[in-house]
Amino acid sequence: MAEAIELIFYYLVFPGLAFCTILGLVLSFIDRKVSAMVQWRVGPGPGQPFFDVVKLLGKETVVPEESWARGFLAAPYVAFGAAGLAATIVWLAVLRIGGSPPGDLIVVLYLLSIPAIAVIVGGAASGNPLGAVGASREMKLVMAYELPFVAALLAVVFQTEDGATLSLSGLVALQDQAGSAMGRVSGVLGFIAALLCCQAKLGLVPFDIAEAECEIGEGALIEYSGPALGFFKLTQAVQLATLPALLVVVFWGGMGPGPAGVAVFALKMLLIVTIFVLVKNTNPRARIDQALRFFWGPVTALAFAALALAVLGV
Amino acid sequence: MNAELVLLPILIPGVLGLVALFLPGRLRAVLGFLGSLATLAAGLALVSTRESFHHAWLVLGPLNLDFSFRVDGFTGWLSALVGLCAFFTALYAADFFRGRGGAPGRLYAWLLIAAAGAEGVVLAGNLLLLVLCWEIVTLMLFVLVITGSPEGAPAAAKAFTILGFGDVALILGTVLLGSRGFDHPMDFATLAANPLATGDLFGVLTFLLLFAGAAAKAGAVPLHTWIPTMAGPASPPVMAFLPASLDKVLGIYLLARVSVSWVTLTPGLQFAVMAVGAITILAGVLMAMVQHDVKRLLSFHAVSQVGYMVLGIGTGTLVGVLGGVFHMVNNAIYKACLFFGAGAVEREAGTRDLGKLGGLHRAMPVTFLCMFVAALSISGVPPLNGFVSKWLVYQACVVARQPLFLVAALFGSVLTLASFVKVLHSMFWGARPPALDGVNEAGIGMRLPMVGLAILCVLLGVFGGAPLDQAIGPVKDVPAASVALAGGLDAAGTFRPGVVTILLVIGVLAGILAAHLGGARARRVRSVFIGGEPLDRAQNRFPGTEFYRTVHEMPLLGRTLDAGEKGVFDVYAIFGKLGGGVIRGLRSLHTGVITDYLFWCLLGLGAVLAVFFWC
Repeated sequence: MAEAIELIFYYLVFPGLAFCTILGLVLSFIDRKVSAMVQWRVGPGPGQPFFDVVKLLGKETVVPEESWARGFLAAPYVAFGAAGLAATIVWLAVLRIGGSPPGDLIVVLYLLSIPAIAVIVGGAASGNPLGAVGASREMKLVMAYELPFVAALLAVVFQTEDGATLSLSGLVALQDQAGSAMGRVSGVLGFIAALLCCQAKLGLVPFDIAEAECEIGEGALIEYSGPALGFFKLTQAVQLATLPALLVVVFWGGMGPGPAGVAVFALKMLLIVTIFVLVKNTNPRARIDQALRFFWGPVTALAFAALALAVLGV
Repeated sequence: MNAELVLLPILIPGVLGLVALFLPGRLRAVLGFLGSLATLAAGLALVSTRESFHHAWLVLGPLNLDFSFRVDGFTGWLSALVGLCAFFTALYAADFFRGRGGAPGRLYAWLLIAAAGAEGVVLAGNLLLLVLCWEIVTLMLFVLVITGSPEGAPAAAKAFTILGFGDVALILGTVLLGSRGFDHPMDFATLAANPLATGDLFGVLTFLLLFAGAAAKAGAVPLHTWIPTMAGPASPPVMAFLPASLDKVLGIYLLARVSVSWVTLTPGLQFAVMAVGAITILAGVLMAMVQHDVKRLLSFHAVSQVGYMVLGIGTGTLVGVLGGVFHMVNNAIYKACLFFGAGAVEREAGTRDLGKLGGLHRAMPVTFLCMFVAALSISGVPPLNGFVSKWLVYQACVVARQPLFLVAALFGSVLTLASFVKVLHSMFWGARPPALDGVNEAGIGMRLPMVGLAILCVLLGVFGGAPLDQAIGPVKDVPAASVALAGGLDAAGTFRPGVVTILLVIGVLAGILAAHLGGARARRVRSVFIGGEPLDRAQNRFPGTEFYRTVHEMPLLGRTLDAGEKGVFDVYAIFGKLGGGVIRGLRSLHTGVITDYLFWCLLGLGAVLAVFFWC
């Protein structure tokens, strides 16, 4: 019983849903501030992401006539719950909290894909043709980045001679012994490939193809409003707090002891988020076929090179 | 318990099926329904028992064959699964053919006999008996496809040819396996006690022959092409019953028996089996992506899923074998559900062209929800059953250190999801074409099997540890307690499906609660927004057939898929052409000129004489 309560606390409060939501909103403030700096603007105050969400939660919900209303309305909450569970598993590994988290790297990968599935289901279920176009693009984007993303992550899993493990805490322990994956060529290549994939996973420019405001009006999210839209925004925040942490924990080792360890980890995360933001602000949106070509071409080649080098022990 | 009980699941459908052959239509349907129900009950009675029926039967010189059937912890469950498939198919077929003059021909009789054959394969304790029952199932597939659809004859012939090839290979492999000079050479006990080493040519050849037999039945690349071909003419109940579920169960069951206990695989052979699995996964799902006919699309997924089972078993690890076999069970469940759903939509909407369907979620809510669950399950979305078994296969790839195959399996799963997003969108979401305005929900007899299977998808996922321990653990003859999977599935990584499910539910509820606390309860229903224009349902559609045009336009990939669609990689077509060439060559010899024939005779005589003098 105590274990169950502990697990629920991990999931709902720390380091799961509540913590990652707040952290993600703070990171999205950093995103907006840095973007503003790049564009020579002042940018919003630190409270703005919170105000946005609070405002959405108070608005009325508009449900399209043609839609599968239940699925349409449930999608954002399922996305939020799944992203939060992935966040919990990743952050438990980051914080080296023992016990037994209910999943490993594969489970995290699948849980992280549920928000994308929810967006697709929501967009398609809305009955809006533009939503369907957005859903189709989102699905193609998932197909595009999932291949190199998986290969890049496996470059770390198969790095060790014996005892390849998919358990996140196992990967952390291995890196404690043998040094972080970033110390090897394969790790660096894999990290770069995974970073590019995360840009697309977060739906950031140049891979915001599925939302493309000025073409298809937010695409899959076009019919969403009020709390449902708010929870999709919260899901994005949770993902923004999870994906950089996942990259760090897989490629760059877990959190070190004491305040210094926390600071180092925070710096690593900030660096990754800053890269996301800079790429986002200096590139135009790609077309979906360009994105497919990009991910199945150079990025996949990079990821497979990393995997091959890892198996060879470089 | 009486040992004779083991025979019941075979005898009940077998005898009733033979009786049904000679009954009038209405009675045949009743007998089909009751017979399959009784089969299910007899199968369930065998669950978690260990019993064997033995009867000395035939002594042919050194070869003594025994009429032996047996049930161990695993095959009892399989027997129940076969019964379940038969029962649901009979139930579904009764409603499917209602208003069309009942089931065509002797469908129910053939169905029962096929079920008897499948039960025989599962319960046989002797390889020769297994092969015998195996042939019954092959024959029944042929008969079932041509029953009621004369246009199905070419597809049935193709299936019979490819399966016939596989069966010949299996028989040859059986003969080789049994020719090693043991007493009772065909008994499972003998085979398991003396596993065949595959270090030499004899071992490799024997295994490859057995593997070809299992792969053709299950539909692994390159012996898979009969499944998509028969998807068009075969009726949905037949597709759901044999190619989608039972043929997989039989093929993979045999493969598991062969590669786990009868043959010791060398690493090279293991690699070959895994490669077949990985290629099957990707080839099947890529071909499915470009299909516009929902039944044909599903049949390519039926191929693709076999890849996971073959891959898992090929790793040779405990976790892989468990995963592969569990996936076989799961596949039977969700694939039958998908075929049932597609059949229901085809029956009610009058088309199975994805470009012409759409927006049916309101007209057919139950069919939609069941197909939705099954689609998520086949795509391996946690916490459904497809995820649990795929997860085991992934772990096995890690244990066996096969990163490439792992990438193939994971990527195949994403493509499967993509394919089913297209299916769901183009059948149930989006705008409903005006032509489909009068469509109604399928009848209760069609809905019940779908609902039952969808519920099983959820249960086997959420409580994924239990079936592994109870039912599938014994396949490797490991005592359930020592399977390190109890509840935790902690073989190589960690996954606790029950915990994940409970947490997900809590998280979703917490989100909904938070939204309610936000104070927003107002809800409005409005027409969709497409830039201020009114929605024209006939015009403003985004049919699923357009979903993956971009993928199809990728260089190389699109052209390869088009070539696949034209049958360039179809062994049946390739060998058909080769055979045609040989026949043409032989035919050109028949000139009708007597001097030509005399010349050939002399040439032959010369050859015979030459052989005589040389030797």
